[in-house]
Amino acid sequence: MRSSRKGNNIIEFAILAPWYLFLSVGAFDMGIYNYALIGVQNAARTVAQYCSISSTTCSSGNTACLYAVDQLRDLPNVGSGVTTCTNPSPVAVSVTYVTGPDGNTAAQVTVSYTSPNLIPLPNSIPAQYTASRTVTMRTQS
Amino acid sequence: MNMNRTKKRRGSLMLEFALVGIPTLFLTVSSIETALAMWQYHTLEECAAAGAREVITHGADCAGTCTVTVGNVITKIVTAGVGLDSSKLTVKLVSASTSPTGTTYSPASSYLSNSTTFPSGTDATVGDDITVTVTYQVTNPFVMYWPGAGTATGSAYTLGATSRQRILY
Repeated sequence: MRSSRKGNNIIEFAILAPWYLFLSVGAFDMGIYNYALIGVQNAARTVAQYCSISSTTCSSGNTACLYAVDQLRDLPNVGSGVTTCTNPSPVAVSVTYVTGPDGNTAAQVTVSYTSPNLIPLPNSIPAQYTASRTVTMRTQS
Repeated sequence: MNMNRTKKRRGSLMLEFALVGIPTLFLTVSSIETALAMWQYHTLEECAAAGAREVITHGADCAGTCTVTVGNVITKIVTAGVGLDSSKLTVKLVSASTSPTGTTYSPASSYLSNSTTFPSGTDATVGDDITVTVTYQVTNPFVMYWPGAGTATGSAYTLGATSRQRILY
């Protein structure tokens, strides 16, 4: 009977360790994803502010993209090297001019960010995640 | 005979605790520290946005007395940074004429009353860009991961956030 108690701690640890590990990995993954969500929300708002100067401001050029990228500089796969929003850039920006709810022209901006491959958790957290936010803002002129 | 068995069992319990207790402690502390660092990471993003917002809404076309000082911006950042230690916070402010170097204020806690105007002179023109970068020194005795563009230096690493915005009025 007594000898059967030997090794109980190790068995208990073996059962619990994956959950501890999941907790730690989950905190890390969700932290990066949530930072991305906050960053993408701020980026969409900033780009919309710029694009709402007039209905032609964002018709061409890379400025809208740079505003978005500058909001996301501190994400793991953005850094100072990213200056475009075309594939394979992790940041994508789409701007269209639409008729807003008040009947006036509005800039509709969607900013998306794709994370690097992180540690996946089975059936709960994917290895890669795309955060996307859309802001619609009435144009000034 | 029984004494020997008890002693042996006591010894094996100690060994098991050494094998199991240390990894358990490490995983527990890692989870807590990672969660804490991530919370600080999110807060920094909000701090940068709040600081930039303070500047872009107080440009040259702002009605009334609208001059913004470095102290005002840093106070806004520190106020938005709930739970952050302002003595470990570094703020970099960049305006049109100082781009890309800007001016770095470290630690932020020493510049809460700084009366330097930001952005100064024609840099406050509507349409000009300003950039606010905040970095935070995270000290973690159990470094397991270091996210973001920060660098790991021993037991400390840096987290940051940037916001570049256009002066609105």
